Amino acid sequence: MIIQKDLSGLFFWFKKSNLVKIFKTILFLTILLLTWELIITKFNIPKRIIPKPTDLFNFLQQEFLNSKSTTVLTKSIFSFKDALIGFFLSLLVGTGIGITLSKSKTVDAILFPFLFLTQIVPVPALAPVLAAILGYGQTTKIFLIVLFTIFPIAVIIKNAILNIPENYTLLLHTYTRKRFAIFKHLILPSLVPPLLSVMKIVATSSIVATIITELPLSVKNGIGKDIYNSFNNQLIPRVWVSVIIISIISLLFFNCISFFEKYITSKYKYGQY
Amino acid sequence: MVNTKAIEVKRLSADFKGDGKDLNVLSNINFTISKGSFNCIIGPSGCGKSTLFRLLSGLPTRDSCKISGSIRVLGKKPETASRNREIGLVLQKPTLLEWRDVQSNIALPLEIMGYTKEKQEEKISELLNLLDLNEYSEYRPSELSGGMQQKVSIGRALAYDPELLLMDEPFGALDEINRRRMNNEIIKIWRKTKKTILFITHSIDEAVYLSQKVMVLSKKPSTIHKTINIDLEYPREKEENSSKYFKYIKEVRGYLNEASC
Ligand SMILES: Nc1ncnc2c1ncn2[C@@H]1O[C@H](COP(=O)(O)OP(=O)(O)OP(=O)(O)O)[C@@H](O)[C@H]1O
Ligand SMILES: [Mg+2]
Repeated sequence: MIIQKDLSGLFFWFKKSNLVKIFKTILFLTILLLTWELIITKFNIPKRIIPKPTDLFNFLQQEFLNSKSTTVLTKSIFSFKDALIGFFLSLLVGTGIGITLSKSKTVDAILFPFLFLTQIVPVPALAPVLAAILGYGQTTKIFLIVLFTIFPIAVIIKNAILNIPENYTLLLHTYTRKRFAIFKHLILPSLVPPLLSVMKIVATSSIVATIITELPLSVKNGIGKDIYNSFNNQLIPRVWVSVIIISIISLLFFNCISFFEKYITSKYKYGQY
Repeated sequence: MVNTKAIEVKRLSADFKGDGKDLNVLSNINFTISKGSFNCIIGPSGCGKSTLFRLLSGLPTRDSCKISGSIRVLGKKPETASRNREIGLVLQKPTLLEWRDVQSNIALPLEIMGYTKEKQEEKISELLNLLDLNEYSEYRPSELSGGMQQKVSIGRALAYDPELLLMDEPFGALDEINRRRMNNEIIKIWRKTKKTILFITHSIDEAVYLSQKVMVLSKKPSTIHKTINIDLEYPREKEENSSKYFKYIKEVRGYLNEASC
């Protein structure tokens, strides 16, 4: 919790009042790294269990200064790109499903169990089945990311629509019977706050999903696959650095969305009654 | 022949079908309202005022609501009158959209109905003047008091110039002072626009202060218990302390007491 809060200070570095925050973060990290280093050295914990910060820095130096092949950073960005595609696709499809579910109780009753299944069936188990149909490429990967992240979107959107106070729907009915006009002026603005908050959930889960889906699939260049391979080859510092990089990317992504959410909510007040 | 009746209700009954038990809410309601008049309906809590309001407004009712009898609004079915945009609604809660400021809340029906930008602006400035809301045109609903919010929603109902205004306890949430202030406003608006108004309330004082005709509903299954014609001059600030005014208050209270037990 503390780390997350302080790292968000890193993201908002342009604010002057955050300078102190940043300084504190750096201090905190330094102390953390020092203690970590000391403990590992003192108790002689082997590198394959927990690497020391110096191991990590050695690896970083090798990776970024001496290596000629693609770095873990490039791979992380590659994975992040797929996560982003999945993220937006999932939002789009999830919102569509949420709207559909809110329209009719029958459709809801029929579709909901399937939607629920996406939450129970583990992605690694589903991957080979899907891969047999869609191939072992990016399509399957994106499909799995969407499958992994779509549930909360659809449920939250459905509930948001059902929770629009009846008075408002009635009132708009006196102006028009056209569903589209009601959708545009009432439903769509009401969906903005739930969409923004669900985006925060999906921001992180789409990255997790990307990493998991890379294991059973043969999409090259992804950081998930790289972590997996490095782990099998006992390249533990590489695993750690990869995990840290991908965490920082998640955090930045999450903070971008939080910032966007705050901006929209305070400026436009969509969906508030 | 010119139809001078704004609303004509004959033998109207409404039941809510629940699982196993039926609830007879309205039973054999008959009344007429003439064009351009100000009318109040008063009745005990839960007697079916809002149900009647919903039926008159021509909005789709719940499947569980079974009705019989006939309702004519401006000589047609309520649904038709509603589709023709001849009915304006003001609900108990202001029901404004927080993401729109005062003027664009008033413009909402105009936007939906496809008025041109110039037409919209013309109408908005006319209404802001009528309602004394010019200074507040760019305020958000949450920045206004309850009374002002309700004023905005009255403006919104008037925007597309409906012939009939239906109001369901619009000032129920206001304190006495603000309620009286809004009563004066609505009388002013009524006298300027010459709309037909049907106003639902559970305040005896408000009913007598506002209307030319007060209809007292009895408790469930409710029917029109009595109709009282209020023969007082407008505006009623001066009449408010007259003995005639008190006589009407006493009369309505008497009927309401009879109707409630
Ligand atoms: N959808 C519904 N299904 C079943 N019963 C209903 C429904 N709507 C209202 N009722 C019942 O009908 C009766 C009348 O309700 P209504 O809201 O019309 O009363 P009201 O006179 O407007 O009350 P209030 O003074 O509290 O506004 C109530 O007893 C209520 O329980
Ligand atoms: Mg009511």
